[in-house]
Amino acid sequence: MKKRIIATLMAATLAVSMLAGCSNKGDAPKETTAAPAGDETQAPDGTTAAAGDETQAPDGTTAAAADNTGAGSEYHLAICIHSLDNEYWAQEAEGAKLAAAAYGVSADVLTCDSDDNKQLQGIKDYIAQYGDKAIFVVDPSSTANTANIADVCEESGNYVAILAHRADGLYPKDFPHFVASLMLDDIAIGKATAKALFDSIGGEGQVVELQGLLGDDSASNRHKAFEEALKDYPNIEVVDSQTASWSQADAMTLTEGWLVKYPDLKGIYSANDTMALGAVEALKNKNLNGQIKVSGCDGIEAALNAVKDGDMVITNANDGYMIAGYGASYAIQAAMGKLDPTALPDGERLIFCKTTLVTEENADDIINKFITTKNPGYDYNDLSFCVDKYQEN
Amino acid sequence: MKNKWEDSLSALSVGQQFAQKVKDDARKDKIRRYAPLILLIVMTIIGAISQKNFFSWGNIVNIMYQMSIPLVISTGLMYVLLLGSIDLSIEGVMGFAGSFVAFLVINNSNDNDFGLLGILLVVLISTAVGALTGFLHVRARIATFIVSYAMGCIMTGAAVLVYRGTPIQVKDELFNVLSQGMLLGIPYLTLIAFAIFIIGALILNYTAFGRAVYAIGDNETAAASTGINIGLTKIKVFALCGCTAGLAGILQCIRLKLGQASLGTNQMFPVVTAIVIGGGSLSGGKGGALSAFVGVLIYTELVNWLTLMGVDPYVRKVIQGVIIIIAVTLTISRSRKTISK
Repeated sequence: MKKRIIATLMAATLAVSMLAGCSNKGDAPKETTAAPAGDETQAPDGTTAAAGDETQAPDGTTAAAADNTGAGSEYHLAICIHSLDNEYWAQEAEGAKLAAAAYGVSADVLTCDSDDNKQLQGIKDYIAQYGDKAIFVVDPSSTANTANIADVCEESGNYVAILAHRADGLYPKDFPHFVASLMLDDIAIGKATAKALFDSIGGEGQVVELQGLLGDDSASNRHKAFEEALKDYPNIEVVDSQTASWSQADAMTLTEGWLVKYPDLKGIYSANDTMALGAVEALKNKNLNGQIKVSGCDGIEAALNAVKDGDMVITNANDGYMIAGYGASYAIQAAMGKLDPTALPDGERLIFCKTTLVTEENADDIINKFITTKNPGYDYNDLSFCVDKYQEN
Repeated sequence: MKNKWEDSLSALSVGQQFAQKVKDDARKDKIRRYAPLILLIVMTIIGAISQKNFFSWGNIVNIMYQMSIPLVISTGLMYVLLLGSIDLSIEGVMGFAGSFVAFLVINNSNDNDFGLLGILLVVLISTAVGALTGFLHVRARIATFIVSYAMGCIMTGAAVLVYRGTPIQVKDELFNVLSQGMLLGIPYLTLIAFAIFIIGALILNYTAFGRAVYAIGDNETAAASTGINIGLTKIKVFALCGCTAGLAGILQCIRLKLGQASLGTNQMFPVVTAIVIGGGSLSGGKGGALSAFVGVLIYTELVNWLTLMGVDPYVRKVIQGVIIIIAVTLTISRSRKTISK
């Protein structure tokens, strides 16, 4: 009896996952998840299969991109990200897939759910499967894990680009196969959004700050950026600064309290879009949206729409297509012999990527490029395009 | 040297000692029953003295608005805690309900327009999920801690599958009306939440089902011997908890207009804490609707007060933790294993 129930459940799960699988776009390379044990992969849609079987199985959606051109078809790009349930990470995956398609390389998404071991094991499994034909673009599970990732890839001789984080003292120049580190300049971005917010309220008045999760890298950088921007605006008074831990609900609750306490509030600086949207909902309930200015960061779809509607003054599109797409391009070019990383000046392997500030004027354009078509039309062969500036050594 | 207390004890017979102990316990129990209420009053007075806005109508509406969702969660959760069980799937069910309801009503990602029917469907699914949790607990004998955690994982996964990474924005006018509309200065959302809680409280206090829940939490074996169907009651309790978690998820989605799995994140433990502050017990049998209400109110006032005070965010977390420990110390029952039981 019990077994029958379990069997039914499993059958139902399978059926659901097959349906979910069918709804994938035809040109999307398949997505697999590396489990820590390495003997099981879980696609985000719930299918479970042995790693070897799954990746070798004739799969209609696999490597469709590789058929376009023959040049890089022997290579396999692993796109290592946290998970697909976050817009930005999903965008990174899309961007890296576009880049892979541009070079005719097949691509797989490995998710790690922010687990260091799972990510490393996934990379090792991929190397075991494809040997020196494996290429990696990695959004690391943690800053500390970047050193391990560089080591593993160096040892096996696989080219890797690492995104967004880099451990202290870890430099591509010490690793011939760690092609490049691509990061976002959180401070510059935070300053730009803060300044736009201050300008929108005429450079004076009461402002509050919604901080991200305490102790988090980005949260502390964006807070620092806010404080730096403040130095140029002596007439801005910061009446309170609280953490909403990246949460929309917490941000909404805090904002409701502030609206009672500070009737003269002019602006709300938020360290990310999700919290900014919480503030916007609190303002909407009091019919204050658009009057009290809100700034965000990240460029998630709902925030882009809020900017378009005038509920938010500004956000920054962090652009996963750029960072992951060009990160993948660096690694792919190195693997294909088009680029010799060791010949590059050391500083040019430490990159701050371009991002786009989004205001009412360009919101439509950004929504069209990043959300509607899911293809900003970048030329992934031109590596210099992604460089905003170089990181300091 | 013997102290006075021991002297007086030794002067009594065993029977007198027993009677004395029962009397003492009864007296302590009485104090304890009013401790949460006293705490609430003290909190309110401190709030009113330290912050002039605390008693403004705007802030009172804020507090009522902010306690809405915890109150709905507590409606089902208080039954579960009365059983001495726990339901860790609440956050997952909330995330799923919020995501799926956003998917079903007018939104920015598809052409669905199921309106109230969609809300009803989501409530039914949530109830079924709760019932399944209860069923697995009762039939497969899996501890609620584990089975509900697993169900929570499943529902979080299902929630993410609904929107596939890009949270769905709600565009339904119904949702705007419910979150922004007011009756006598009180938001509809708050009124709905209070109505849900009152229904839950009435069921708990005035039906055989409610009394059975108390009986099972107090002593399961004794309850079984009086002919209460333990299994069925438990399944009903978890179905109810799933139902209210689903409703809480929908209300959260009405509040935030964005359907995503994180709607439920960090929503459950504050409510568990609140119920315990209100006089509930994690081992079951103690507490009830009033204590849940008082607990949630104390907790919401605390968070609201800390916001108005504007303390440093690092210090704030510390203060919040310390106050919770003080509150629980003052109100928790420590007499469970005494001879009067």
